[in-house]
Amino acid sequence: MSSLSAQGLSKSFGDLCALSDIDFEVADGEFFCVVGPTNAGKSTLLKTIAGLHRPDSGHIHLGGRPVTDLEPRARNVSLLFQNIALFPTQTGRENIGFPLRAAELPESEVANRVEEVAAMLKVGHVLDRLPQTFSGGEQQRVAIGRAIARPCDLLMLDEPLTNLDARIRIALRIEFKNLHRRLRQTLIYVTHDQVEAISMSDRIAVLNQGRFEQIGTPDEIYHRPASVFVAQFIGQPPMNIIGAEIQGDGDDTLLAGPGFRVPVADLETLESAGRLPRQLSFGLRPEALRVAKTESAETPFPGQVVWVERLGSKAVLDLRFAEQIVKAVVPPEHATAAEGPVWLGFTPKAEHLIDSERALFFR
Amino acid sequence: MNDSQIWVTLLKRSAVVISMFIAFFPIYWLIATSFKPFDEWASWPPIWLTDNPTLQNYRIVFFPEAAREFAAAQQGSLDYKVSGSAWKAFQDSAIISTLATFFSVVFGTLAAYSMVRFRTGGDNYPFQFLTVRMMPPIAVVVPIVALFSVLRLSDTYFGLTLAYTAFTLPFSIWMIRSFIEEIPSELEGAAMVHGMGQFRAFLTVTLPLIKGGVLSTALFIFILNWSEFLFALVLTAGNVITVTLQVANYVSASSGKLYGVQAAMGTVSTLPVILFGYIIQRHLVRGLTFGAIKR
Repeated sequence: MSSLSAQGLSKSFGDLCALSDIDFEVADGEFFCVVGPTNAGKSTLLKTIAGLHRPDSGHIHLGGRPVTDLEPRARNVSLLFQNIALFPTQTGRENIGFPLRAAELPESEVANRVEEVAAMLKVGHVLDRLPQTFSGGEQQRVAIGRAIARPCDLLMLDEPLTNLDARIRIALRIEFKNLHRRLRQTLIYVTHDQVEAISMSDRIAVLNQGRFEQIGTPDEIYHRPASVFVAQFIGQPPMNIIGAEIQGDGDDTLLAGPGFRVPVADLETLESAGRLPRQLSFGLRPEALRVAKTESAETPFPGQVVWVERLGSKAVLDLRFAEQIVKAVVPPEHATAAEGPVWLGFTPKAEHLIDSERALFFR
Repeated sequence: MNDSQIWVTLLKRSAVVISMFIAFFPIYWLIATSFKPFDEWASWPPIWLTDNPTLQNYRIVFFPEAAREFAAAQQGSLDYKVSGSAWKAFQDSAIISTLATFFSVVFGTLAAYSMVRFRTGGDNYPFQFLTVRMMPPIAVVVPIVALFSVLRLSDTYFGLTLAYTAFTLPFSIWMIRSFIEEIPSELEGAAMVHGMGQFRAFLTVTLPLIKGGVLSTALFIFILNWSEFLFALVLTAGNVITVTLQVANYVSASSGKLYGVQAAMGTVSTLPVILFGYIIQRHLVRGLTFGAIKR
């Protein structure tokens, strides 16, 4: 059964279109991530699901129940706001207990639950203080506590780990994962950090300018992106996009561009294989680019390393190749991790051929 | 510090001293005159500080028998309005100003909330409201007199309260609106997602945060109401009398020029405003939303 189903959601603020024809479902107990750049409409999407924004069109169902016309409090959802939104005149204890007290639970139960949540989030020491005395991390954790204090059908977290230092971020990431495993809590998790999205979620939706570019498992999103936007948003460094021309046909099909001519792997798996235009481009993950100091059958094309960015466990190379700069990832001690001439090789995958006009991948 | 800097500093300080002198002189003169005996009120050369301070002026304001005594001794007959006690004026002004301030602020808060959160009336609506106040009251006073006579609102508490509420409402809305706009809507959103209706969320979350702003608006509106003269003059006929009317009554064709008495009344009538300001002063704190949201 799907916990959340949204059909045709659209929302504009004046001339600004925040959401446009959003369709998606979140399964019961799923960890669903929404990623996208700033102003993609992520927060608007959550507020619309929570009932704080009324959609201009479209329907929302929660647990099979239509909720589009219901007040926020009647939806049984919880939301952690991106800007935290702690009640400034209430102590940490009152903030965390707020949803429980609003639900008119007995006071002893409220007190127990607050202690339990505070212990889990390690904010016991701030319970009797006002939010203005909290550190950034404490504010964030108290807000998380308020969001998870009361059981709900759908928990929505809007960038819950931004503005936290790395140590707390990793601890809370594990905490969310545990929370999700233990309670089978259905979760929508919004982030602009693709590493968070890929490492935590069952499925990812990539939101851009109010539209879903793609919804899929982290593997699908990474290996079979639907659009150039997704390919370049997910993955660090982003996917290289190289212009090319189709030559030959059938089994002899080759991709040719300035300084290279290569066969395409598994072209027959592509549905539109017979209908490809002559001019197109293809995507190449930086780690799929082979780099060597010497020419070989594996690395037949000359290139030039113009910049090396060392990131500890790996090095990112900026290479001048095919009249542009492409990026490759190599181990830091690799012989090519220094400026100078190198040899390159690659085998484009059929699912990485791009319709340049529509900025979409061929399927 | 070199010479020119010293001169600039000196110039700045003198400017401050001169403006303070200009600002406070009328207040000094008001209070000084209120303690002067009859023959020093308008003497020339002026007497800056009297050598014969007296409370007679205050007695005339508050005790009708003192007024009658004074009239018998100095002036022959006194206007009936003047010989009456000023207590009635204070009482009427207190009732009308307080009620009108209360209604203005309550309606202003609700209207401002609706405009900020629901865009009621469109983006220009608050401004349109303010333009109502760009017309000078004198331009509408005659029609209002006619209207009030027809509706039998003239010379009633209700009528004057209504007029004051209507004319201060744009200020209330405009001021309170700016305070509500500072409160992120996410705070109410959080209260609503976590189990409250919109109005309860407003009362429990937003209202405590704008309390200082609402109270300072109330003070501002109260001062406007307390010192209003034009409407009080044209919409009353002796049944209702405000402090401002009573002040004016002490200098009139029928009562003569009772400058000292007028000064005493003027001095006393500023006290409630100062008192009100003092009482709400501790609520006029800002920065209450600190800690609520990530900046």
